[in-house]
Amino acid sequence: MASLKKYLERKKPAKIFRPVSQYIAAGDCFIFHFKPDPSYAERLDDQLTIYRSEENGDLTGCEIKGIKCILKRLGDFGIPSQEKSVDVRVLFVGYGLSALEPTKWPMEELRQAAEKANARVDTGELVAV
Amino acid sequence: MPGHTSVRGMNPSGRGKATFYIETSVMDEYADAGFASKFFDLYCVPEVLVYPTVVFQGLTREDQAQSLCYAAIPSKRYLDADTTVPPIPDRTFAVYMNKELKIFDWRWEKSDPEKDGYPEKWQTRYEKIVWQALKNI
Repeated sequence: MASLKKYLERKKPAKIFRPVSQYIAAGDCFIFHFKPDPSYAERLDDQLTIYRSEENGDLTGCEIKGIKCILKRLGDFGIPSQEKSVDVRVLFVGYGLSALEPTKWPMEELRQAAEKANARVDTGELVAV
Repeated sequence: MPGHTSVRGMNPSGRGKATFYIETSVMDEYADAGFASKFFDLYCVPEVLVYPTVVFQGLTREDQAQSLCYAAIPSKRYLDADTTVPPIPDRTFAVYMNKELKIFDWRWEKSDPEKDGYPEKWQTRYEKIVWQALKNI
């Protein structure tokens, strides 16, 4: 297994940014970044953390936790989430259905960013965990 | 551990060392997407794992009661592989991992204004402190 030091010596980031959306099984969380700015995390509630630009405080992304529960909740409402990949906006709906008191104010901006990026996440990995 | 990259740091107990893991595909995705700031934040991970200010356990959500957060203010922030600057004031670097020491996020957060190297609202975000540097006891 390679060390992180060796990995960082070898790997270089691409020059052009594209939005990133990925499910990280180790934390059962979904992370979406739609702006490349250096950012800091701000936890809004137990399930939602947003990222803000260090340059201007603008929203740059989010993290939604407890994805397994969110998928179950979506299923309870008859919203299919067993396809190969799912539109990221569906996870935002799932967060709204799952959180006890969902934080609504960033959702429209996140929705627009996900729509613009046509962001999808691989649910094959999600349902396999 | 196939598909993972390793990094050494302090054992969560504070006694001895431990090996931590990051899923290589997660780092690759950030790199391939050109998300340079997140990628270069990886350079801060080893320092925070070796010299944490505090280690928290329990992320107050389902299935994460054993997860850990290592937090500290690293000595520098990386703009790229060769360029460093001082950390932004009022920021703490946090590394999150599950009970198997698989890292799932690394990021800057607002600092607790009363305790250097502690993330904001740590009192309610984590279940307990499992280790802290002597200067904070």
